[in-house]
Amino acid sequence: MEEPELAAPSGLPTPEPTADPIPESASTATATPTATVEYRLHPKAPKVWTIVASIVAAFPLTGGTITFFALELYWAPPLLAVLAVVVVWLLTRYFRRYARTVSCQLSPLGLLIRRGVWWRAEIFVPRERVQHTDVDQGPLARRFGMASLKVFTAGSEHSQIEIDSLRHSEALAVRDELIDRSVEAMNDGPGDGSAA
Amino acid sequence: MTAAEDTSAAEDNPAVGPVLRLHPFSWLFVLITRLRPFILPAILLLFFGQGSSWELWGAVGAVVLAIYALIYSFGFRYQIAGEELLVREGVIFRTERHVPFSRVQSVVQKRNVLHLLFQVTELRLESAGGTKPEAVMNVIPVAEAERLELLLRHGATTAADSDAGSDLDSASASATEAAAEPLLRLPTSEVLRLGLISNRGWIVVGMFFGLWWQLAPEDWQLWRLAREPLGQLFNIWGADPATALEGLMWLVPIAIGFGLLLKPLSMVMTLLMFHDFRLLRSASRLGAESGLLTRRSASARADRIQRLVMRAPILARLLGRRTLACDVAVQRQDDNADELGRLHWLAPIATPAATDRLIAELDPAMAFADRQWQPLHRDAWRRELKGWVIAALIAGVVLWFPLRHLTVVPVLALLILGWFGSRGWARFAAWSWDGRALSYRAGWLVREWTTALIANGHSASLRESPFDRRRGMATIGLSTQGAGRMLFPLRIPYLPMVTARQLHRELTTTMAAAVAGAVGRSAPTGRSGSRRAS
Repeated sequence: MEEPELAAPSGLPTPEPTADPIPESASTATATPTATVEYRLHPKAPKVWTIVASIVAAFPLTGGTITFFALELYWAPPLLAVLAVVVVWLLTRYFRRYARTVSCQLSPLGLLIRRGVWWRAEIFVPRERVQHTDVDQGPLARRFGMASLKVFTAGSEHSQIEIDSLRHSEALAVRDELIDRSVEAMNDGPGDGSAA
Repeated sequence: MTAAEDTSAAEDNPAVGPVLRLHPFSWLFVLITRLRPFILPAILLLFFGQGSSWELWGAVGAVVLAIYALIYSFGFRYQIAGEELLVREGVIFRTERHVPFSRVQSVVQKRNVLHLLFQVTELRLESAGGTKPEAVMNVIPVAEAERLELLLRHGATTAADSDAGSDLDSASASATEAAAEPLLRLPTSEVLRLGLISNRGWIVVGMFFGLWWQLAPEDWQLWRLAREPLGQLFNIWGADPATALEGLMWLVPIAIGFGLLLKPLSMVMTLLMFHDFRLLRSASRLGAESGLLTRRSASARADRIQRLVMRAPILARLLGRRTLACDVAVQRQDDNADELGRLHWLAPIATPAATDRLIAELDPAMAFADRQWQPLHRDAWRRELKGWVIAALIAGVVLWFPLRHLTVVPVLALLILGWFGSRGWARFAAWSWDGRALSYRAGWLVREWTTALIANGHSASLRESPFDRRRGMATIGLSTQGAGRMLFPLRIPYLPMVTARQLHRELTTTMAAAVAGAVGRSAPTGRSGSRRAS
């Protein structure tokens, strides 16, 4: 690789990459110059995750409380409750930070997913390598109008990439866009039509 | 009617062949395949068992299986219809399956002593998708298998139609052999060298202990035998630190001695597996065959090779040898344990010059030689050393109890080893990207190389851990299809952040373009259609 060409890195040194290093590369590619669309998570995503975490935390909390009452350790349950509140509060903060890092960019080249607070990852999947996609909606997600998008590839790593808590409409948009393109790409062959 | 008669009939109309059956003795092989998991326990029960009702049930099961095998193998039909193979099989539920030749990615043949006796072979056809082989012919005559393989080879490249036709008519094994030029052939001396390098002796040791565990009579059980030496070990442990250290130091020559003792076993194992290894190439297919008692052959379309992995453990390097393996895009990763069950080894052992020549012949773009290797981050060795330091700390904590102040000795030994290990690792570690292929190499005692064409990439990733961020590093990965989990991954760690960013950007743009081109060209890789009828 030619060392002198090392362009100034346009994103990462700043802790919170907001948008962009990819568009410039997109313009150098052979594909059609369609704009890159960036999707972020639903603004309520951290809230929903917190609700889920609270529900999960409630089980050991009640179990612990009952046990402590049975053992007549009456000072323990309040302590447990305080601990639970602190943990949930820390988680909420983490969720908020994490949600801000998640970005899903759809360019003419493919899908670039970026996320992570401490362990950061940027995963790129070319359009033609998307095997199929799933859009899932749980009961909570449906209430808030969000959905999770799963992208499957045939590679042995990242064979399933899940983006949780996108806006439902946007998850569908990404899916439709990916399907359209991959159908276009193999319009001569018997497309396996498994993208659903 | 026998398969041989059918072949002669097929000469009249090569497009739609006659309906063919398996070899008349197929039921025997089907039966053996079905019974294999039970044979060893059955024998053992016979010798060591206390005569329970299980034997009776076993016998009933065997009879049922025998009947099944008979019906199954006599009911199996296949037919060549133009560019596809038609298979009808099943006892109660009949399955009719169309296997287009272009979809067959991998052809595997298996022959053991019994097969050789009957001049037959087991043939398996696999496609890229799915978890089951497309067709398993258990068993057909060798000549018939050769004919089918020939058809497959030429089915993919329809240009050579007339040529294929004449080849088919002769349908003789020798003609096929002549057509395929061996890219590599291992003489026995090389196979023995391979045994010296490899640790396949452990397989035998594992099996031996497994059997012992199952079968040993009461007072020969493993834990009873091990109790006394273990007790002695604990006595040493409990004694003064100096004796404990002496005991610990004895472990080193014992381990080395055991390793040396295993080498003859390894050599026997490799001889069984790799005797007369041949790598053959004909038209677009690449095939490997080997084995002493059980002869196995596996082939795949050369363009389905996704990634190359080269290895040079220290012993191999002393002998001036390397190993070369490949990933083929057949999605059956659960089957990875069976290294001869598909095309995996391109060169189980070869000189560096030979491996370089081999790669050059397969695809010069994947060559390891003449690459512009770039070093990793200059602090990469420190990150590697960290692992050794943590290991030394854990060892120190564990050994503190018996060794006390002498804990310093093993901890220091580990740290010194770690120093050389991480420096050596980082000195050799390097990556290379030339616009077509991404390569990575690393290792200290075991040096490894891997390379993949960007057009075979399925996703590219850039990762950054908090430790990476502290030193301004990142990891670049390229995911390919069918990569074995145990094999050296194409994941380049400890790259300088700036380099990693730029490399990632280049990989994404090049991959998008290359993949778009590649997908347009190659055939779809779906599973072939099948239909079920009762």
